[in-house]
Amino acid sequence: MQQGPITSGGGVIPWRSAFDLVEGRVQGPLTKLTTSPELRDTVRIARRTRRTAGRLVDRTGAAVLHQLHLPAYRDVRRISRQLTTLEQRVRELSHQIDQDALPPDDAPVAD
Amino acid sequence: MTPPSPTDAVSLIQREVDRARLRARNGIRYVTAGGVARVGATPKDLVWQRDRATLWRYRSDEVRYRTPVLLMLGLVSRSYILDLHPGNSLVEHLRNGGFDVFLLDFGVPDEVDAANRLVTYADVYLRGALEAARRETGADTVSGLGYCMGANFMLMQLGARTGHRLSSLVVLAPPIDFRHCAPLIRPLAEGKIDPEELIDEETGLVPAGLIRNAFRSTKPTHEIVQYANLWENLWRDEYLEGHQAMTRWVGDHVPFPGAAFRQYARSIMRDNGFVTGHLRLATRPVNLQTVRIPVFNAMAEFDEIVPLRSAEALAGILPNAPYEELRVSAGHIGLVAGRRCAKVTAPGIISFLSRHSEAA
Repeated sequence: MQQGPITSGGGVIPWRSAFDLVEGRVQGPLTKLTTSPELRDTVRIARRTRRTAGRLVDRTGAAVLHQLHLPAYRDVRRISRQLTTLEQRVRELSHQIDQDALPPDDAPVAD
Repeated sequence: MTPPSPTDAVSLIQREVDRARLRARNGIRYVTAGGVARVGATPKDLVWQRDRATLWRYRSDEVRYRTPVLLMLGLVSRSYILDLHPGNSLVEHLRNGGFDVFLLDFGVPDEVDAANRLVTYADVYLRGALEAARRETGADTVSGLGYCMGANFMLMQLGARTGHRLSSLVVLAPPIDFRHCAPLIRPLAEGKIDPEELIDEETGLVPAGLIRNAFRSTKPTHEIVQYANLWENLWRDEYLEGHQAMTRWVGDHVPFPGAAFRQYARSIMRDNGFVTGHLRLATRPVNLQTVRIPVFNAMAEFDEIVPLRSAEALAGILPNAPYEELRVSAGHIGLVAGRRCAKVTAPGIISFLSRHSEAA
């Protein structure tokens, strides 16, 4: 961020001085607000509420779809999660193979 | 203030008319291009890949040092920030300094990466990349360069692996002592926020949007100031592209893998693992007392993400390493991009590395 008097091509730009003056005055209180514990708690509560509401809608929607013998989003998610877990396990095994292929840890140390 | 002479007034008006014309042209270009900047433009080749992690080697015909330099950063930013823009790129500075430059890029994580732990990045990927850099160049050892969280990973590798392949280390803005962390992460460091709350339960990742907003909250007027800067300098062609690159960086974060985030928040932030010495990399203790390679710590005096006091704590936890430090009058971004980087950070790194690298 630019600091101090702003010049362009040698001359001070009047609008810029005014802008910097206002920005300088506003920045402090605004930063105090956006980093305040109160705002943080409000955001946290909003996130939790949204999460809870989402779960409720998801559960209701799934119940309706199951009545119609149709898969719900959560069913698709469950399968996708299982595939992800499988891929993670394969990855872990391949990492172990990689590590075994690298020089041992007691090889001469770079100093 | 004395009024300008008629000749001066005419030339002033002429200048403003010229600039207005250029502003209009560049403004149209800016709007129609959608703010797309050329980032990560230095020519490079892919030399190694594991999962989403990739190792790039920058092309150069003027390598003067046999010891390659491997660059890495943490898990919240994209790797192009170290090769931001032609003429404003740390990679370019190092390459022009005669070094064979490699960049380890962790990519953009997805749900499979959500289970990656710190050991995955600081050991599995980093060790693999170091070996690949050695193999590519035929060098015995590699110089490491870690920016921000990337510095943490490099230090973890050094402290946990006695057989590491690093011959010297450069760290830029390393977050070490979390008693002096930025207000942005203080709630995590003080244990007031459970990391679990920030992890999306569907994907297992900390969403990029959450990280972006957290950074925005530290400087809420930053965006509008950037627009003011843009309007002021819109007549300059070279400014426009640099501005686009910088704006892209500031708003371009990647999701943080949940398992690694949990560990980072608990062991490094809350338990202050680097300072207390209780940090572990999987089953291995991270013992920084064993580090004997030369270390260069470049810190930003006005860093709003990693305060100076947090970064300077590194000196105290490396009692046996030849240690040098550089304080740069810049912020977190200015340390690795822009004029301060070109004039202070990059020459400092080049001077350090050239003293600790094998000539070609």
